[in-house]
Amino acid sequence: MADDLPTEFDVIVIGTGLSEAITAAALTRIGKKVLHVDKNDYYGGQWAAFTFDKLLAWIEKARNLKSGEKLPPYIQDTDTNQKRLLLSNDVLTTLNLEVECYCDKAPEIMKDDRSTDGDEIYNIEEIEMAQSQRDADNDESSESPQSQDPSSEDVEKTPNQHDADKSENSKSPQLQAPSSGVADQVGSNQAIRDRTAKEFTYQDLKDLWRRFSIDLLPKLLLCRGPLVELLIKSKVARYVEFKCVTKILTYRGNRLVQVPCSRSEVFSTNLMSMLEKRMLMKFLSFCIEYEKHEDKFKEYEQRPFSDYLKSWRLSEDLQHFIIHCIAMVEKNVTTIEGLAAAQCFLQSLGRFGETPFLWPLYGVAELPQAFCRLCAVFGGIYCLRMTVPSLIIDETSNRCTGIITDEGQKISCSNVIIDSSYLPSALLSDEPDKEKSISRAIFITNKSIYPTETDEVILFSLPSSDLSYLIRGLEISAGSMACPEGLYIVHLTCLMKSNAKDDLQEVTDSLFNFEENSGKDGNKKPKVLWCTYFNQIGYNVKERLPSNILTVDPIDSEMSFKSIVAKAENMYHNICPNEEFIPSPPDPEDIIIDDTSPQKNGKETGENAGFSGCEENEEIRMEDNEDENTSTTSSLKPNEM
Amino acid sequence: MIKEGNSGLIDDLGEDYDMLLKVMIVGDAGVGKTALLHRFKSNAYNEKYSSTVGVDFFFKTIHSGGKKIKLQIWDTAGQERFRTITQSYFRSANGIIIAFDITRKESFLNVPLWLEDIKKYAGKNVVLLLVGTKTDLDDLRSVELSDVRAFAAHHNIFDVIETSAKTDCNVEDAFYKMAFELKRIHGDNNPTINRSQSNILLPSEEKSKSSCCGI
Repeated sequence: MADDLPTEFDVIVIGTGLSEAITAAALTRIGKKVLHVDKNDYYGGQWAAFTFDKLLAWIEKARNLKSGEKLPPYIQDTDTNQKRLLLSNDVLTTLNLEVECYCDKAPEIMKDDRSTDGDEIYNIEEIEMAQSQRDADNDESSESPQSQDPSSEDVEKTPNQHDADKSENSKSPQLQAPSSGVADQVGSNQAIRDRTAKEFTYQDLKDLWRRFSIDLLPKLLLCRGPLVELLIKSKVARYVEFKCVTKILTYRGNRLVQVPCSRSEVFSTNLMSMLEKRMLMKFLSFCIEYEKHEDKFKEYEQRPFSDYLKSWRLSEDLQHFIIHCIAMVEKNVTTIEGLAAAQCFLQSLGRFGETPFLWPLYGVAELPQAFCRLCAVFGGIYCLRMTVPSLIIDETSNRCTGIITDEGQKISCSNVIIDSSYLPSALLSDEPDKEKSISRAIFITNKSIYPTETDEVILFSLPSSDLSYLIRGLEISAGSMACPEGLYIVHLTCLMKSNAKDDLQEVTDSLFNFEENSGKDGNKKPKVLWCTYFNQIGYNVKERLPSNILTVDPIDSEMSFKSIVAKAENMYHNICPNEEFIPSPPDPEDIIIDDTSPQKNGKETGENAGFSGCEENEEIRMEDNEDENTSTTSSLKPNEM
Repeated sequence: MIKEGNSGLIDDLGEDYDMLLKVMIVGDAGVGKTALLHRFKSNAYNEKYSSTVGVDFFFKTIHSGGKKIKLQIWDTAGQERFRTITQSYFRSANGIIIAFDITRKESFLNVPLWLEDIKKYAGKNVVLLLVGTKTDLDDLRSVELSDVRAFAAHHNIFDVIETSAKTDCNVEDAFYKMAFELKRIHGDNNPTINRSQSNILLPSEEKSKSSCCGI
């Protein structure tokens, strides 16, 4: 592979996580030559999303990976004043992995019977299951991916499509085409709610592998957050579709309740008294433009946000809503941080939907891929499945001058950007940095935690019982292309305290039912079919590296993308101090295929499509979308209070 | 962004059309995918070889049976070179053209590898067309059309066509074949519009940051 590569680049980027991908795109965008590599056969590193089979494979691999000996990180090249920094493949980025399966595993043994006789015992409600199983089976067979696809039966009809015909009326449109209409979705959801007896088995999950897209690092985009602005400006937005989060939930007592997000929701909620509603609206109106009223918070600026809220004489419940559901911060943040976070939430309301958050279809893992595509469009070269054994360090200048490939070829470059988990373990802290590490759990369940008539994307924000830390949850369903119809994926995330299972156990137990008929409301809660717990780990780089090697943490522990975008911009400006960060690219139609100077091409078009000066423009492109929400959100002006 | 107008559909340039279809092209590096697209888009050909730079996608509207069909045609951005095409590239495709070079047998033998990626990542109803390139070099032909047809019949590829971007042979026909087949399959249902309406596309360019906020 390396034989075909040029031997000189401006920047070599190692690891395809989101900040690396954004930086790589920004660099090629202004004409830098970029080589972007990843040791895995998928994009994203710890930002990846997997189908069910791939997730099982990832778990297996992570479980078997043993951290290697701490070898000396450098070897000296004889005869030259160069040394090599030896990269590693065995830094543990996933720890404390546990997998639990609560659905019937038995059918696995009878796999062969199932595909032949199994169909006959299905009742009507189960036909759509059978349908998708056949689809999945087709995927695994070596030929004719579509020949048994019921939706192409007008093209060719074979005798063995008999079953598919039978189920014509009951099958879910979602299952055959991702492009089905919303009305159909509602219909099929109804079918699912009506279905009471359907039990998914482990084999069902495995057969439906293709319909899962399970993120390792789920995060939500704030509608007016820096990533959304960057996606729009860079036009990377056209590679990704989103869903707006439909509900934000939290606990009140031991019950899940919906957090009111708009003025009308605040006024219609029965969670608070009229007085509380007025207090809340007054505070939120202040938050929107808190900078203008410095006198109101100056004294508390660096003191805990919770103290500041008390000074407003807000009730306990309101304090909880504001800290955990609006600012969505840990309890110990300073007032200034809390206000900024709350403001960001409020500013993002009503832009694309009822809540301030967006979730990408197929998951967050689409985002690094989308930026990688932009990078490739402007000439970046991609190599997955590529290990880089070492970096070359020139000792005289103390700079990295290139890499050595696994085939021994030298590729030179002026800068290296590297995911710190590729560095030799001797350069990393012995223990995970807990600020850079998170506890994660992924559940596949049979029911929504908050069942409704429509397809939902639900964010929930739950403080631990001692209120010492915040657990963020996200439930996504088939409409977000995350899992098959009738199943739900629930992600839980919190900062790493001890280990994932212990950190999340309490919330897990309150949300879910693990065994049949456990307790009197056992059947009301979603049943967990399968789950996994793990910690995603970041380390500190102990030693100072040459200044042209920029390191990136493999994950980011914040819920938002703020620090990811800031990191990418920072790395970019480190390499290109005076250039605009991802100027808006020209229309694809205007890009000229220029054989002689592709680099120049990127630069020229960039200048033409300069983006500055548009910010104050009064034309509002998003009016169409926002109109829909005018009644609920846009009219929430401070002066109306 | 796609908006629904009173009659038919109107895109962000104000152009109306009846159907919007996404067509992706894949195939080994160097088979002439970009040349094929370039010929179809601008009726131009560039002899010099370069791997793809700067080609993202383009639109071309064609007419069929009184309907305006707008094709959005995507190039690989060079990511086919080391088989690193992103999954998302395949996901939204209505049709996929798999291109190979009739003078390079290997590029035809690699078609099953592309089919594998398509099977894994593309939607169920995706329409596949197999396109041989460089028929102007017929002297150097190493792939027989009959073999290609036999292969296509076994792999649910609806048709095969041989083209030359250099001599402008069959290029338009290839895209029309794809468009007609998509139209036939989807009838009057526009697959791109019929996707769930709660899905959100961000605006392609933000003209204002000053629009009022929530509360």
